[in-house]
Amino acid sequence: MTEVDELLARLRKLPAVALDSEFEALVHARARRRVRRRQAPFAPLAALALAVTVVLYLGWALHFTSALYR
Amino acid sequence: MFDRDVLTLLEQGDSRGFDLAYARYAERIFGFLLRLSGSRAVAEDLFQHTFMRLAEVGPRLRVDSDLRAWLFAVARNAFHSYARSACVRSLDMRADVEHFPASQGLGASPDAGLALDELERALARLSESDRELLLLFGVEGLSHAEVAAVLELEQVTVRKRVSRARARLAEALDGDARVVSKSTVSE
Repeated sequence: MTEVDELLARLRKLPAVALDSEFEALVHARARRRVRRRQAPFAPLAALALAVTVVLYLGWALHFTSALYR
Repeated sequence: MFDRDVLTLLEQGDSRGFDLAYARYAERIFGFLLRLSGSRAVAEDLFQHTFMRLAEVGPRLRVDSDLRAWLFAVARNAFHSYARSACVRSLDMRADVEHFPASQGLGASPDAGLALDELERALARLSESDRELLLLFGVEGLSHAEVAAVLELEQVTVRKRVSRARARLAEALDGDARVVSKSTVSE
Protein backbone atom coordinates (compact mmCIF):
# COMPACT_ATOMS: atom_id res chain seq x y z
CA MET A 1 0.00 0.00 0.00
CA THR A 2 1.40 3.44 -0.85
CA GLU A 3 1.67 6.28 1.60
CA VAL A 4 -1.19 8.10 -0.13
CA ASP A 5 -3.49 5.07 0.13
CA GLU A 6 -2.67 4.67 3.81
CA LEU A 7 -3.53 8.28 4.37
CA LEU A 8 -6.85 7.87 2.59
CA ALA A 9 -7.60 4.78 4.66
CA ARG A 10 -6.88 6.75 7.83
CA LEU A 11 -9.20 9.54 6.72
CA ARG A 12 -11.97 6.97 6.13
CA LYS A 13 -11.54 5.80 9.72
CA LEU A 14 -12.39 9.20 11.18
CA PRO A 15 -15.59 8.57 13.11
CA ALA A 16 -18.92 10.28 12.57
CA VAL A 17 -19.63 13.14 14.95
CA ALA A 18 -22.65 12.65 17.19
CA LEU A 19 -25.27 15.35 17.31
CA ASP A 20 -26.73 16.53 20.58
CA SER A 21 -29.86 14.34 20.80
CA GLU A 22 -32.17 17.17 21.88
CA PHE A 23 -30.98 19.40 19.05
CA GLU A 24 -31.25 16.53 16.57
CA ALA A 25 -34.85 15.79 17.57
CA LEU A 26 -35.77 19.49 17.41
CA VAL A 27 -34.38 19.99 13.89
CA HIS A 28 -35.94 16.73 12.73
CA ALA A 29 -39.40 17.68 13.97
CA ARG A 30 -39.18 21.25 12.69
CA ALA A 31 -37.99 20.30 9.21
CA ARG A 32 -40.36 17.32 8.94
CA ARG A 33 -43.36 19.61 9.33
CA ARG A 34 -42.26 21.52 6.23
CA VAL A 35 -42.43 18.57 3.86
CA ARG A 36 -45.22 19.19 1.35
CA ARG A 37 -46.43 17.28 -1.67
CA ARG A 38 -45.07 18.70 -4.91
CA GLN A 39 -47.66 21.02 -6.48
CA ALA A 40 -48.94 20.00 -9.89
CA PRO A 41 -47.19 22.30 -12.36
CA PHE A 42 -49.50 25.12 -13.49
CA ALA A 43 -48.12 25.74 -17.00
CA PRO A 44 -49.33 22.52 -18.76
CA LEU A 45 -52.85 22.97 -17.37
CA ALA A 46 -52.95 26.59 -18.50
CA ALA A 47 -51.74 25.62 -21.99
CA LEU A 48 -54.42 22.93 -22.25
CA ALA A 49 -57.16 25.34 -21.16
CA LEU A 50 -55.97 27.87 -23.76
CA ALA A 51 -55.96 25.26 -26.54
CA VAL A 52 -59.50 24.12 -25.67
CA THR A 53 -60.70 27.74 -25.67
CA VAL A 54 -59.16 28.38 -29.11
CA VAL A 55 -60.70 25.22 -30.60
CA LEU A 56 -64.12 26.09 -29.19
CA TYR A 57 -63.87 29.63 -30.54
CA LEU A 58 -62.82 28.46 -34.02
CA GLY A 59 -65.66 25.91 -34.03
CA TRP A 60 -68.15 28.56 -33.08
CA ALA A 61 -66.73 30.96 -35.76
CA LEU A 62 -66.99 28.27 -38.46
CA HIS A 63 -70.54 27.45 -37.44
CA PHE A 64 -71.52 31.15 -37.40
CA THR A 65 -69.93 31.82 -40.83
CA SER A 66 -71.55 28.80 -42.48
CA ALA A 67 -74.93 29.91 -41.04
CA LEU A 68 -74.60 33.25 -42.92
CA TYR A 69 -74.54 31.51 -46.31
CA ARG A 70 -77.41 29.15 -45.67
CA MET B 1 -31.85 2.95 -5.02
CA PHE B 2 -32.09 4.40 -1.50
CA ASP B 3 -31.99 7.98 -2.80
CA ARG B 4 -34.64 7.22 -5.43
CA ASP B 5 -36.99 5.75 -2.80
CA VAL B 6 -36.45 8.74 -0.52
CA LEU B 7 -37.05 11.24 -3.31
CA THR B 8 -40.16 9.39 -4.51
CA LEU B 9 -41.63 9.56 -1.00
CA LEU B 10 -40.73 13.24 -0.70
CA GLU B 11 -42.32 13.98 -4.07
CA GLN B 12 -45.56 12.52 -2.71
CA GLY B 13 -45.29 14.72 0.37
CA ASP B 14 -44.63 11.65 2.52
CA SER B 15 -42.50 12.73 5.47
CA ARG B 16 -41.15 9.17 5.86
CA GLY B 17 -38.87 10.10 2.99
CA PHE B 18 -37.48 12.89 5.12
CA ASP B 19 -37.09 10.53 8.10
CA LEU B 20 -35.07 8.07 6.00
CA ALA B 21 -32.79 10.77 4.62
CA TYR B 22 -32.30 12.25 8.07
CA ALA B 23 -31.46 8.89 9.62
CA ARG B 24 -28.87 8.13 6.97
CA TYR B 25 -27.24 11.50 6.37
CA ALA B 26 -27.67 13.67 9.50
CA GLU B 27 -24.45 12.61 11.26
CA ARG B 28 -22.43 12.66 8.04
CA ILE B 29 -23.57 16.18 7.18
CA PHE B 30 -23.00 17.41 10.71
CA GLY B 31 -19.51 15.89 10.85
CA PHE B 32 -18.66 17.47 7.51
CA LEU B 33 -19.87 20.90 8.68
CA LEU B 34 -18.12 20.62 12.04
CA ARG B 35 -14.80 19.67 10.46
CA LEU B 36 -15.20 22.35 7.81
CA SER B 37 -16.16 25.20 10.13
CA GLY B 38 -14.30 24.13 13.29
CA SER B 39 -17.19 25.43 15.38
CA ARG B 40 -20.03 23.39 16.84
CA ALA B 41 -22.39 26.37 17.01
CA VAL B 42 -21.80 27.26 13.35
CA ALA B 43 -22.11 23.61 12.32
CA GLU B 44 -25.47 23.34 14.12
CA ASP B 45 -26.85 26.44 12.38
CA LEU B 46 -25.73 25.24 8.95
CA PHE B 47 -26.95 21.71 9.64
CA GLN B 48 -30.41 23.05 10.43
CA HIS B 49 -30.38 25.14 7.26
CA THR B 50 -29.39 22.09 5.17
CA PHE B 51 -32.24 19.90 6.39
CA MET B 52 -34.78 22.72 6.18
CA ARG B 53 -33.76 23.03 2.52
CA LEU B 54 -34.27 19.30 2.09
CA ALA B 55 -37.81 19.57 3.50
CA GLU B 56 -38.64 22.54 1.27
CA VAL B 57 -36.85 21.66 -1.97
CA GLY B 58 -36.67 17.85 -1.68
CA PRO B 59 -40.19 17.27 -3.07
CA ARG B 60 -39.20 19.19 -6.22
CA LEU B 61 -35.95 17.30 -6.86
CA ARG B 62 -35.85 14.78 -9.69
CA VAL B 63 -36.17 11.25 -8.34
CA ASP B 64 -32.93 10.25 -10.08
CA SER B 65 -30.93 12.99 -8.32
CA ASP B 66 -27.91 12.07 -6.19
CA LEU B 67 -29.36 13.06 -2.82
CA ARG B 68 -26.10 12.60 -0.89
CA ALA B 69 -24.19 14.88 -3.27
CA TRP B 70 -27.07 17.38 -3.19
CA LEU B 71 -27.04 17.52 0.62
CA PHE B 72 -23.28 18.00 0.76
CA ALA B 73 -23.55 20.73 -1.88
CA VAL B 74 -26.24 22.56 0.14
CA ALA B 75 -24.18 22.22 3.34
CA ARG B 76 -20.99 23.37 1.64
CA ASN B 77 -22.70 26.36 -0.04
CA ALA B 78 -24.30 27.32 3.28
CA PHE B 79 -20.87 27.27 4.89
CA HIS B 80 -19.35 29.48 2.19
CA SER B 81 -22.22 31.97 2.43
CA TYR B 82 -21.75 32.06 6.17
CA ALA B 83 -17.97 32.42 5.85
CA ARG B 84 -18.33 35.32 3.43
CA SER B 85 -20.80 37.17 5.64
CA ALA B 86 -19.03 36.55 8.94
CA CYS B 87 -15.44 36.63 7.66
CA VAL B 88 -14.71 33.48 9.65
CA ARG B 89 -11.84 32.53 7.35
CA SER B 90 -9.45 34.03 9.83
CA LEU B 91 -10.67 31.83 12.70
CA ASP B 92 -8.13 29.52 14.22
CA MET B 93 -9.50 26.10 13.29
CA ARG B 94 -7.39 24.36 15.93
CA ALA B 95 -9.47 25.94 18.67
CA ASP B 96 -12.39 23.54 18.37
CA VAL B 97 -10.67 20.27 17.52
CA GLU B 98 -11.70 18.93 20.93
CA HIS B 99 -15.25 18.54 19.53
CA PHE B 100 -14.18 15.62 17.38
CA PRO B 101 -14.76 12.06 18.58
CA ALA B 102 -11.12 11.02 18.15
CA SER B 103 -10.19 13.75 20.61
CA GLN B 104 -12.80 12.51 23.04
CA GLY B 105 -11.11 9.14 23.43
CA LEU B 106 -13.67 7.27 21.34
CA GLY B 107 -11.03 5.60 19.18
CA ALA B 108 -10.53 1.82 19.28
CA SER B 109 -7.41 2.12 21.47
CA PRO B 110 -5.44 4.99 23.02
CA ASP B 111 -2.86 4.78 20.21
CA ALA B 112 -5.53 4.69 17.53
CA GLY B 113 -7.33 7.58 19.19
CA LEU B 114 -4.08 9.57 19.28
CA ALA B 115 -3.40 8.88 15.61
CA LEU B 116 -6.90 10.01 14.65
CA ASP B 117 -6.49 13.05 16.85
CA GLU B 118 -3.27 13.99 15.00
CA LEU B 119 -5.11 13.51 11.74
CA GLU B 120 -7.96 15.79 12.85
CA ARG B 121 -5.45 18.47 13.84
CA ALA B 122 -3.53 18.21 10.59
CA LEU B 123 -6.79 18.35 8.64
CA ALA B 124 -7.91 21.42 10.59
CA ARG B 125 -4.70 23.26 9.67
CA LEU B 126 -5.17 22.80 5.92
CA SER B 127 -6.65 25.52 3.76
CA GLU B 128 -10.42 25.52 3.51
CA SER B 129 -10.39 24.26 -0.09
CA ASP B 130 -7.99 21.39 0.69
CA ARG B 131 -9.99 20.49 3.76
CA GLU B 132 -13.34 20.36 1.99
CA LEU B 133 -11.87 18.18 -0.77
CA LEU B 134 -10.40 15.70 1.70
CA LEU B 135 -13.55 15.69 3.80
CA LEU B 136 -15.73 14.89 0.80
CA PHE B 137 -13.43 12.43 -0.93
CA GLY B 138 -11.47 11.00 1.97
CA VAL B 139 -13.70 11.09 5.03
CA GLU B 140 -17.15 10.85 3.42
CA GLY B 141 -16.10 8.57 0.59
CA LEU B 142 -17.74 10.46 -2.27
CA SER B 143 -16.51 9.51 -5.73
CA HIS B 144 -14.56 11.95 -7.90
CA ALA B 145 -17.75 12.48 -9.94
CA GLU B 146 -19.79 13.26 -6.81
CA VAL B 147 -17.14 15.64 -5.48
CA ALA B 148 -17.08 17.33 -8.88
CA ALA B 149 -20.86 17.76 -8.68
CA VAL B 150 -20.70 19.18 -5.15
CA LEU B 151 -17.90 21.63 -5.97
CA GLU B 152 -19.12 22.37 -9.51
CA LEU B 153 -15.75 21.43 -11.01
CA GLU B 154 -14.52 19.11 -13.74
CA GLN B 155 -13.62 15.60 -12.59
CA VAL B 156 -10.07 16.02 -13.91
CA THR B 157 -9.65 19.13 -11.79
CA VAL B 158 -10.99 17.31 -8.74
CA ARG B 159 -8.48 14.45 -9.23
CA LYS B 160 -5.58 16.90 -9.41
CA ARG B 161 -6.74 18.92 -6.43
CA VAL B 162 -7.36 15.85 -4.30
CA SER B 163 -3.87 14.62 -5.08
CA ARG B 164 -2.35 17.97 -4.07
CA ALA B 165 -4.48 18.18 -0.93
CA ARG B 166 -3.38 14.66 0.09
CA ALA B 167 0.24 15.69 -0.36
CA ARG B 168 -0.26 18.76 1.83
CA LEU B 169 -1.98 16.66 4.50
CA ALA B 170 0.95 14.24 4.48
CA GLU B 171 3.33 17.21 4.89
CA ALA B 172 1.27 18.54 7.79
CA LEU B 173 1.41 15.13 9.50
CA ASP B 174 5.18 14.89 8.90
CA GLY B 175 5.59 18.34 10.43
CA ASP B 176 3.67 17.22 13.51
CA ALA B 177 5.81 14.10 13.83
CA ARG B 178 9.03 16.17 13.65
CA VAL B 179 7.76 18.56 16.33
CA VAL B 180 6.85 15.64 18.61
CA SER B 181 10.20 13.88 18.12
CA LYS B 182 12.13 17.14 18.76
CA SER B 183 10.24 17.76 21.99
CA THR B 184 10.82 14.13 23.07
CA VAL B 185 14.59 14.45 22.43
CA SER B 186 14.81 17.77 24.33
CA GLU B 187 13.12 16.10 27.34
